[in-house]
Amino acid sequence: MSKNVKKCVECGICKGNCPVLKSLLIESQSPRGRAILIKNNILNKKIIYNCTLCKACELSCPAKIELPEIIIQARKNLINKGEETKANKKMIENVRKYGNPYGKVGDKIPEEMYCC
Amino acid sequence: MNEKEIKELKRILEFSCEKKDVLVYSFDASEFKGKALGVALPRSVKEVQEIMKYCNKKNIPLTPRGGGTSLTGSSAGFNSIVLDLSKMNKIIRFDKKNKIVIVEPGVILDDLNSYLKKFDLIFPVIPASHKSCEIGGMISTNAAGERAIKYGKMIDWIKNLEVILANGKKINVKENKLRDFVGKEGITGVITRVELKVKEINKTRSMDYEKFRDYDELLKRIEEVKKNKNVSAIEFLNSFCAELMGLEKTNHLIIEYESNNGKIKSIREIQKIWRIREACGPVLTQKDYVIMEDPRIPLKKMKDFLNFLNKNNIPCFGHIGIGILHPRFKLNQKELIKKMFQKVKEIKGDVSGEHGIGVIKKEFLSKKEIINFKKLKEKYDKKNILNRGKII
Repeated sequence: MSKNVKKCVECGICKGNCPVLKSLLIESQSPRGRAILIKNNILNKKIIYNCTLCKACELSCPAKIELPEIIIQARKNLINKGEETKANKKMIENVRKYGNPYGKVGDKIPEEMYCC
Repeated sequence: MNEKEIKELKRILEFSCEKKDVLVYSFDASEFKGKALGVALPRSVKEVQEIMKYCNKKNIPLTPRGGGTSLTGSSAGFNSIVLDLSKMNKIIRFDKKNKIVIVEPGVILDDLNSYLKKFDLIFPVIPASHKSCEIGGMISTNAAGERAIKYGKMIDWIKNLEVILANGKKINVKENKLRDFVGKEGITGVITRVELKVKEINKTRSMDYEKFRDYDELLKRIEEVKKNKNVSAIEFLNSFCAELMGLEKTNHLIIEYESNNGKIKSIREIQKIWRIREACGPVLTQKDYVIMEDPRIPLKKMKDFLNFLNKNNIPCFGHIGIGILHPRFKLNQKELIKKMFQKVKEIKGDVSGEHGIGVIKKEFLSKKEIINFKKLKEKYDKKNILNRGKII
């Protein structure tokens, strides 16, 4: 699972690009923080699921560590242990039941919809 | 720390001693690994004062931290609570007319410069970690950068500092007292507000890119070019570094001017050359040269030092114009690093030109330097609460 995460030298260059860190401003929610935790086999649900998998850290990493791939693998491991988040469980349930992650669609569908 | 202390700290500010936070705050960008007791995340000066009063009373060490990009272990927890100032990240006031900006310590350098760019202004001290380093940390290490030959170091751009001492007392620091806090890696006080000077963005640039086989010729050229007041950077790659970069195996010299003095005028070409220089760190890291040192070498002794690097196959790049070089080492080259610092001492250089001392370079400080640091510690932090175990 750690793939090439052991190559991380904790330089912190990845921190400048991470949208999650920019919002939460705590080291454990930075790409460097996640790499340190994964290297030490600490799979904290909140940390692993808060990553947006945007790959901004991967682009700036001097050691070319594919952290998003490693995070995806870490999520798989959490699911196998039955430790995924409630929100994730609900989302999967909704996709299976209603074909979308949000759940039952109301009678009236808005004419215009917005996304990020 | 016991349950009661944790409860009391949580009453003061956002505090965590969860396993995940304790682990990540035990690191910074150096190879040092300490041991954080927890992390405190203040959002106001009042919260900083309160936690410092509390820790002073209870004799709990505190390690101030910004972006955690220290290369010497100075921002890693060391049997201490880490005081992460990243949430104090406001630009408080901007005076365009007088080119002054007042900021909190957690402002990231690139964020500050993005803000200033709208007014055609810039904060010109720009170290390689500009994307993630914070103003407070830059002051604590007295950071420099690629254009230090023209713009100097942090201390040259500070007008005023607001500092909280270990006992929680707030003081204002100006002029000759600045040196008691700038470059002191948080062992004398915690910076909570900074008044910085800024300048106009210079839009005229040109460059010379030259190659030298002979060190005498290289150093003669540097002496000559330093007389030009428009020179904004003199950067260097030795032949081992050049080879690892896939360039011609010889010594490369990059001279940037904030005028039309250089032969290369195309901005695209200038940017291309800067990209090569800035890629040195990451490329060498990928090739396992992960440890970066920062000795400052007197220009008169530079030839001697370059020969030493050559003899020992040490790849090196850096700001040769101001004498600061970045020799790189592999993790298993600790003995060679020691040998290099012996050389630095022998030729009367400084063990650290811009990264600071932290934990990693403590053993290389002179007796005189240790006495000076101890005097400051005695003056501002008698109980040794702040960044205990660092520098001295």
